[in-house]
Amino acid sequence: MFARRFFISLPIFTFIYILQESVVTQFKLFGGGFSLFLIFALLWSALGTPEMGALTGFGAGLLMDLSQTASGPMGQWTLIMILAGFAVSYLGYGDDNFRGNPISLVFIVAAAVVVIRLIYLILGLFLGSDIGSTWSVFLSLFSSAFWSAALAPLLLPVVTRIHEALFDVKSRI
Amino acid sequence: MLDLAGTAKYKVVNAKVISLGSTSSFTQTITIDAGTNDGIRQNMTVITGLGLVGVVKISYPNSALVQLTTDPAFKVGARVAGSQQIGILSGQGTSKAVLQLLDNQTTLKVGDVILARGSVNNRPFVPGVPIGQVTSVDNAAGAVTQTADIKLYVNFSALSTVAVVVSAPKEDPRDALVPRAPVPTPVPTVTIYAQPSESPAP
Repeated sequence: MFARRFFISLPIFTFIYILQESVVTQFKLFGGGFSLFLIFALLWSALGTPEMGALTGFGAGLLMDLSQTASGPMGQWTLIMILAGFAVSYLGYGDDNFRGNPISLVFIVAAAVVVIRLIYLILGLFLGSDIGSTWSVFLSLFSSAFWSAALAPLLLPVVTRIHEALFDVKSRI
Repeated sequence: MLDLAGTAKYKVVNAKVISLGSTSSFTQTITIDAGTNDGIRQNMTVITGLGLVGVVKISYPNSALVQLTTDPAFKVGARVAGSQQIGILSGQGTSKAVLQLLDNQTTLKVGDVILARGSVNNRPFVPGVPIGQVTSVDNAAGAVTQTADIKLYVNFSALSTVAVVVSAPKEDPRDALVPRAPVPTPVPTVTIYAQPSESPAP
Protein backbone atom coordinates (compact mmCIF):
# COMPACT_ATOMS: atom_id res chain seq x y z
CA MET A 1 0.00 0.00 0.00
CA PHE A 2 2.75 2.39 1.04
CA ALA A 3 4.92 1.42 -1.92
CA ARG A 4 2.04 1.93 -4.34
CA ARG A 5 1.28 5.38 -2.98
CA PHE A 6 4.93 6.26 -2.90
CA PHE A 7 5.47 5.32 -6.55
CA ILE A 8 2.32 7.17 -7.60
CA SER A 9 3.51 10.30 -5.80
CA LEU A 10 7.05 10.12 -7.15
CA PRO A 11 6.42 11.55 -10.67
CA ILE A 12 4.37 14.40 -9.20
CA PHE A 13 7.12 15.28 -6.74
CA THR A 14 9.75 14.98 -9.47
CA PHE A 15 7.77 17.40 -11.63
CA ILE A 16 7.43 19.94 -8.81
CA TYR A 17 11.12 19.51 -7.99
CA ILE A 18 12.14 20.26 -11.59
CA LEU A 19 9.77 23.23 -11.60
CA GLN A 20 11.38 24.50 -8.42
CA GLU A 21 14.97 24.04 -9.61
CA SER A 22 14.48 25.38 -13.13
CA VAL A 23 11.75 28.01 -12.94
CA VAL A 24 11.14 29.21 -9.36
CA THR A 25 14.87 29.83 -8.77
CA GLN A 26 14.80 32.42 -11.57
CA PHE A 27 12.38 34.68 -9.71
CA LYS A 28 14.02 37.62 -8.05
CA LEU A 29 11.79 38.11 -5.04
CA PHE A 30 12.07 39.82 -1.70
CA GLY A 31 14.12 37.91 0.87
CA GLY A 32 15.16 35.13 -1.51
CA GLY A 33 11.70 33.97 -2.55
CA PHE A 34 9.90 30.75 -1.69
CA SER A 35 10.36 27.02 -1.98
CA LEU A 36 7.43 25.68 -3.96
CA PHE A 37 8.67 22.15 -3.42
CA LEU A 38 8.80 22.50 0.36
CA ILE A 39 5.30 23.99 0.55
CA PHE A 40 3.93 21.28 -1.76
CA ALA A 41 5.57 18.50 0.25
CA LEU A 42 4.16 19.84 3.53
CA LEU A 43 0.65 20.23 2.12
CA TRP A 44 0.84 16.71 0.71
CA SER A 45 2.03 15.32 4.04
CA ALA A 46 -0.72 17.13 5.93
CA LEU A 47 -3.38 15.35 3.86
CA GLY A 48 -2.16 11.84 4.64
CA THR A 49 -1.59 9.59 7.64
CA PRO A 50 1.50 10.13 9.84
CA GLU A 51 3.21 7.09 8.30
CA MET A 52 2.51 8.37 4.81
CA GLY A 53 3.65 11.85 5.89
CA ALA A 54 6.99 10.47 7.05
CA LEU A 55 7.38 8.57 3.79
CA THR A 56 6.52 11.71 1.81
CA GLY A 57 9.06 13.62 3.89
CA PHE A 58 11.67 10.97 3.13
CA GLY A 59 11.16 11.23 -0.63
CA ALA A 60 11.00 15.03 -0.59
CA GLY A 61 14.07 15.32 1.65
CA LEU A 62 16.04 12.98 -0.59
CA LEU A 63 15.28 15.15 -3.63
CA MET A 64 16.21 18.30 -1.67
CA ASP A 65 19.52 16.70 -0.71
CA LEU A 66 20.19 16.00 -4.39
CA SER A 67 19.77 19.68 -5.30
CA GLN A 68 22.99 21.20 -6.65
CA THR A 69 22.56 24.14 -4.32
CA ALA A 70 22.17 22.04 -1.15
CA SER A 71 25.11 22.93 1.07
CA GLY A 72 24.75 20.42 3.89
CA PRO A 73 25.84 16.80 3.97
CA MET A 74 23.76 14.19 2.17
CA GLY A 75 20.88 13.18 4.40
CA GLN A 76 20.46 16.45 6.31
CA TRP A 77 17.31 17.43 4.46
CA THR A 78 16.05 13.83 4.45
CA LEU A 79 16.27 13.59 8.24
CA ILE A 80 14.54 16.93 8.79
CA MET A 81 11.82 16.26 6.22
CA ILE A 82 10.97 12.81 7.66
CA LEU A 83 10.37 14.44 11.05
CA ALA A 84 8.53 17.38 9.50
CA GLY A 85 6.32 15.19 7.31
CA PHE A 86 5.40 13.01 10.28
CA ALA A 87 4.75 16.00 12.56
CA VAL A 88 2.57 17.89 10.09
CA SER A 89 0.47 14.84 9.19
CA TYR A 90 0.19 13.86 12.87
CA LEU A 91 -1.32 17.27 13.61
CA GLY A 92 -3.73 16.87 10.72
CA TYR A 93 -4.77 13.35 11.59
CA GLY A 94 -7.44 12.05 13.96
CA ASP A 95 -10.65 13.58 15.21
CA ASP A 96 -9.28 16.81 16.59
CA ASN A 97 -7.34 17.88 13.52
CA PHE A 98 -6.78 21.11 11.62
CA ARG A 99 -7.37 19.57 8.22
CA GLY A 100 -10.97 20.66 8.07
CA ASN A 101 -10.04 24.31 8.33
CA PRO A 102 -8.05 25.73 5.39
CA ILE A 103 -6.81 28.70 7.42
CA SER A 104 -5.32 26.40 10.05
CA LEU A 105 -3.71 24.32 7.33
CA VAL A 106 -2.15 27.38 5.72
CA PHE A 107 -0.95 28.62 9.10
CA ILE A 108 0.59 25.25 10.00
CA VAL A 109 2.36 24.99 6.65
CA ALA A 110 3.76 28.54 6.87
CA ALA A 111 4.93 27.91 10.44
CA ALA A 112 6.38 24.52 9.47
CA VAL A 113 8.46 26.08 6.67
CA VAL A 114 10.06 28.48 9.18
CA VAL A 115 10.62 25.75 11.79
CA ILE A 116 12.11 23.38 9.21
CA ARG A 117 14.55 26.02 7.96
CA LEU A 118 15.46 26.95 11.53
CA ILE A 119 16.18 23.29 12.38
CA TYR A 120 18.23 23.01 9.18
CA LEU A 121 20.21 26.05 10.30
CA ILE A 122 20.79 24.74 13.84
CA LEU A 123 21.76 21.29 12.57
CA GLY A 124 24.12 22.98 10.11
CA LEU A 125 25.72 24.88 12.99
CA PHE A 126 26.38 21.60 14.81
CA LEU A 127 27.94 20.28 11.61
CA GLY A 128 30.24 23.29 11.32
CA SER A 129 28.41 25.44 8.75
CA ASP A 130 28.56 29.24 8.80
CA ILE A 131 25.25 31.05 9.13
CA GLY A 132 26.20 34.66 8.44
CA SER A 133 24.65 37.63 10.17
CA THR A 134 21.61 37.34 12.42
CA TRP A 135 19.81 39.96 10.35
CA SER A 136 20.14 37.96 7.13
CA VAL A 137 18.84 34.83 8.88
CA PHE A 138 15.88 36.74 10.33
CA LEU A 139 15.08 38.33 6.97
CA SER A 140 15.28 34.98 5.20
CA LEU A 141 13.02 33.26 7.74
CA PHE A 142 10.53 36.12 7.72
CA SER A 143 10.34 36.20 3.94
CA SER A 144 9.89 32.43 3.70
CA ALA A 145 6.99 32.64 6.20
CA PHE A 146 5.48 35.47 4.18
CA TRP A 147 5.77 33.72 0.82
CA SER A 148 4.56 30.40 2.23
CA ALA A 149 1.49 32.05 3.77
CA ALA A 150 0.81 33.78 0.45
CA LEU A 151 1.35 30.73 -1.73
CA ALA A 152 -0.17 27.92 0.36
CA PRO A 153 -3.81 29.06 -0.15
CA LEU A 154 -3.21 29.09 -3.92
CA LEU A 155 -1.67 25.64 -3.93
CA LEU A 156 -4.13 24.08 -1.48
CA PRO A 157 -7.02 23.44 -3.91
CA VAL A 158 -4.65 21.96 -6.49
CA VAL A 159 -2.91 19.70 -3.99
CA THR A 160 -6.13 18.45 -2.40
CA ARG A 161 -7.66 17.68 -5.80
CA ILE A 162 -4.62 15.73 -7.00
CA HIS A 163 -4.43 13.91 -3.66
CA GLU A 164 -8.09 12.98 -3.82
CA ALA A 165 -7.90 11.90 -7.45
CA LEU A 166 -4.92 9.64 -6.83
CA PHE A 167 -5.77 8.10 -3.49
CA ASP A 168 -9.57 8.34 -3.58
CA VAL A 169 -9.54 9.91 -0.13
CA LYS A 170 -12.01 12.64 0.70
CA SER A 171 -9.50 15.21 1.82
CA ARG A 172 -10.56 18.03 -0.47
CA ILE A 173 -11.09 21.35 1.17
CA MET B 1 33.45 44.40 -17.08
CA LEU B 2 35.79 44.47 -20.09
CA ASP B 3 37.44 47.56 -18.64
CA LEU B 4 38.29 45.76 -15.40
CA ALA B 5 39.43 42.60 -17.21
CA GLY B 6 41.40 44.62 -19.78
CA THR B 7 43.24 46.69 -17.19
CA ALA B 8 44.34 43.59 -15.31
CA LYS B 9 44.87 41.59 -18.54
CA TYR B 10 42.55 38.83 -17.40
CA LYS B 11 41.25 36.41 -20.01
CA VAL B 12 37.55 36.09 -19.29
CA VAL B 13 34.52 34.16 -20.45
CA ASN B 14 31.26 36.06 -20.19
CA ALA B 15 28.15 34.29 -18.95
CA LYS B 16 24.54 35.05 -18.16
CA VAL B 17 22.97 34.34 -14.79
CA ILE B 18 20.27 31.75 -15.42
CA SER B 19 19.10 31.06 -11.88
CA LEU B 20 19.54 32.18 -8.33
CA GLY B 21 20.43 29.86 -5.49
CA SER B 22 18.46 27.67 -3.17
CA THR B 23 15.32 29.08 -1.64
CA SER B 24 15.22 26.55 1.19
CA SER B 25 18.77 26.53 2.53
CA PHE B 26 20.78 29.60 3.49
CA THR B 27 23.44 29.35 0.80
CA GLN B 28 23.89 32.18 -1.68
CA THR B 29 24.69 30.91 -5.14
CA ILE B 30 23.91 31.58 -8.79
CA THR B 31 23.97 29.35 -11.85
CA ILE B 32 25.55 30.68 -15.05
CA ASP B 33 25.06 29.50 -18.62
CA ALA B 34 28.68 28.59 -19.32
CA GLY B 35 30.53 25.48 -18.23
CA THR B 36 33.37 23.12 -19.02
CA ASN B 37 32.62 23.35 -22.75
CA ASP B 38 33.55 27.04 -22.50
CA GLY B 39 36.71 26.41 -20.50
CA ILE B 40 35.21 27.04 -17.09
CA ARG B 41 36.56 24.87 -14.30
CA GLN B 42 36.06 24.59 -10.57
CA ASN B 43 37.70 27.29 -8.40
CA MET B 44 37.80 30.07 -10.96
CA THR B 45 37.19 33.70 -10.01
CA VAL B 46 33.92 35.30 -11.12
CA ILE B 47 33.77 39.08 -11.55
CA THR B 48 31.66 41.92 -12.91
CA GLY B 49 32.76 45.40 -13.93
CA LEU B 50 32.44 46.49 -10.29
CA GLY B 51 34.42 43.75 -8.60
CA LEU B 52 34.40 40.26 -7.14
CA VAL B 53 31.21 38.21 -7.51
CA GLY B 54 32.37 34.84 -6.21
CA VAL B 55 33.99 31.59 -7.17
CA VAL B 56 32.98 28.63 -9.37
CA LYS B 57 32.12 25.73 -7.07
CA ILE B 58 30.87 23.15 -9.55
CA SER B 59 31.12 23.20 -13.33
CA TYR B 60 28.93 21.16 -15.66
CA PRO B 61 29.26 20.93 -19.47
CA ASN B 62 26.95 23.90 -20.14
CA SER B 63 26.48 25.56 -16.77
CA ALA B 64 28.31 26.29 -13.54
CA LEU B 65 27.38 26.92 -9.94
CA VAL B 66 28.94 30.05 -8.46
CA GLN B 67 29.26 30.67 -4.74
CA LEU B 68 28.65 34.38 -4.12
CA THR B 69 30.81 36.63 -1.95
CA THR B 70 27.75 37.14 0.24
CA ASP B 71 27.47 33.42 1.09
CA PRO B 72 28.05 32.85 4.83
CA ALA B 73 30.57 30.10 4.02
CA PHE B 74 32.53 32.28 1.58
CA LYS B 75 36.05 33.30 2.61
CA VAL B 76 38.73 35.09 0.60
CA GLY B 77 42.21 36.34 1.39
CA ALA B 78 42.06 40.12 1.07
CA ARG B 79 44.43 43.07 1.29
CA VAL B 80 44.01 46.75 1.89
CA ALA B 81 44.87 48.89 -1.13
CA GLY B 82 47.80 51.15 -0.35
CA SER B 83 48.98 49.67 2.94
CA GLN B 84 48.91 46.11 1.52
CA GLN B 85 47.90 44.71 4.90
CA ILE B 86 46.28 41.32 4.64
CA GLY B 87 43.24 39.73 6.21
CA ILE B 88 40.39 37.30 5.69
CA LEU B 89 37.08 38.49 4.33
CA SER B 90 33.95 36.46 5.16
CA GLY B 91 30.48 36.70 3.65
CA GLN B 92 27.59 37.45 5.98
CA GLY B 93 24.51 36.75 3.89
CA THR B 94 23.96 40.45 3.18
CA SER B 95 25.59 43.11 0.99
CA LYS B 96 28.15 43.60 3.74
CA ALA B 97 31.07 41.34 4.58
CA VAL B 98 33.45 41.23 7.52
CA LEU B 99 37.20 41.65 7.19
CA GLN B 100 39.46 40.29 9.90
CA LEU B 101 43.01 41.58 9.69
CA LEU B 102 45.85 39.24 10.55
CA ASP B 103 48.19 41.86 11.97
CA ASN B 104 47.11 43.64 15.15
CA GLN B 105 49.48 46.55 14.46
CA THR B 106 47.51 47.60 11.43
CA THR B 107 45.06 50.44 11.46
CA LEU B 108 42.13 50.53 9.12
CA LYS B 109 40.08 53.56 8.29
CA VAL B 110 36.68 54.12 6.77
CA GLY B 111 36.91 54.37 2.99
CA ASP B 112 39.86 51.98 2.58
CA VAL B 113 39.50 49.82 -0.52
CA ILE B 114 39.75 46.05 -0.12
CA LEU B 115 41.15 43.89 -2.93
CA ALA B 116 41.50 40.14 -3.43
CA ARG B 117 44.96 39.00 -2.40
CA GLY B 118 45.15 36.19 -4.93
CA SER B 119 45.86 32.49 -4.62
CA VAL B 120 48.63 30.18 -5.72
CA ASN B 121 48.34 29.68 -9.52
CA ASN B 122 45.48 32.24 -9.47
CA ARG B 123 42.92 29.71 -8.28
CA PRO B 124 40.47 30.15 -6.72
CA PHE B 125 41.22 33.89 -6.68
CA VAL B 126 43.15 36.08 -9.06
CA PRO B 127 44.92 39.00 -7.35
CA GLY B 128 43.84 42.60 -7.42
CA VAL B 129 40.08 42.25 -7.93
CA PRO B 130 38.21 44.99 -6.01
CA ILE B 131 35.90 43.58 -3.33
CA GLY B 132 34.54 46.51 -1.38
CA GLN B 133 35.13 49.49 0.85
CA VAL B 134 35.48 49.78 4.63
CA THR B 135 32.35 51.31 6.18
CA SER B 136 33.12 50.83 9.87
CA VAL B 137 36.00 49.59 11.97
CA ASP B 138 35.67 47.66 15.22
CA ASN B 139 38.30 48.93 17.61
CA ALA B 140 37.04 47.04 20.65
CA ALA B 141 39.56 46.91 23.46
CA GLY B 142 40.90 43.41 24.01
CA ALA B 143 40.28 42.28 20.45
CA VAL B 144 43.18 40.20 19.16
CA THR B 145 42.88 41.58 15.65
CA GLN B 146 40.99 44.41 14.07
CA THR B 147 37.75 43.68 12.22
CA ALA B 148 35.85 45.89 9.82
CA ASP B 149 32.55 45.91 7.96
CA ILE B 150 32.98 45.99 4.21
CA LYS B 151 30.36 47.28 1.80
CA LEU B 152 30.68 45.08 -1.26
CA TYR B 153 30.96 46.85 -4.61
CA VAL B 154 28.80 44.40 -6.56
CA ASN B 155 25.02 44.71 -6.38
CA PHE B 156 24.09 41.05 -6.00
CA SER B 157 20.37 41.59 -6.39
CA ALA B 158 20.85 42.90 -9.92
CA LEU B 159 23.32 40.40 -11.33
CA SER B 160 22.62 39.52 -14.94
CA THR B 161 25.96 39.08 -16.72
CA VAL B 162 29.22 38.02 -15.13
CA ALA B 163 32.72 37.11 -16.33
CA VAL B 164 34.73 34.08 -15.30
CA VAL B 165 38.49 34.64 -15.23
CA VAL B 166 39.94 31.66 -17.09
CA SER B 167 43.53 32.90 -17.04
CA ALA B 168 45.42 35.79 -15.51
CA PRO B 169 48.87 37.29 -16.17
CA LYS B 170 51.77 36.30 -13.94
CA GLU B 171 52.31 39.84 -12.67
CA ASP B 172 50.06 41.07 -9.90
CA PRO B 173 48.13 44.21 -10.93
CA ARG B 174 48.60 45.48 -7.36
CA ASP B 175 46.35 48.53 -6.89
CA ALA B 176 45.66 49.14 -10.58
CA LEU B 177 42.04 48.06 -10.26
CA VAL B 178 41.13 50.31 -7.35
CA PRO B 179 37.99 52.17 -8.43
CA ARG B 180 38.58 55.83 -9.02
CA ALA B 181 36.96 58.14 -6.54
CA PRO B 182 34.02 59.95 -8.10
CA VAL B 183 35.01 63.37 -9.42
CA PRO B 184 32.54 65.98 -8.25
CA THR B 185 30.75 67.50 -11.21
CA PRO B 186 31.05 71.31 -11.20
CA VAL B 187 27.68 72.92 -10.85
CA PRO B 188 27.37 76.10 -12.94
CA THR B 189 26.28 79.05 -10.90
CA VAL B 190 24.09 81.61 -12.58
CA THR B 191 23.96 84.99 -10.96
CA ILE B 192 21.06 87.22 -11.82
CA TYR B 193 21.11 90.85 -10.92
CA ALA B 194 17.67 92.27 -10.59
CA GLN B 195 17.19 95.99 -10.56
CA PRO B 196 13.84 97.36 -9.52
CA SER B 197 12.30 99.52 -12.16
CA GLU B 198 11.36 103.02 -11.28
CA SER B 199 7.95 103.18 -9.76
CA PRO B 200 5.51 105.19 -11.81
CA ALA B 201 4.73 108.63 -10.48
CA PRO B 202 1.36 108.91 -8.79
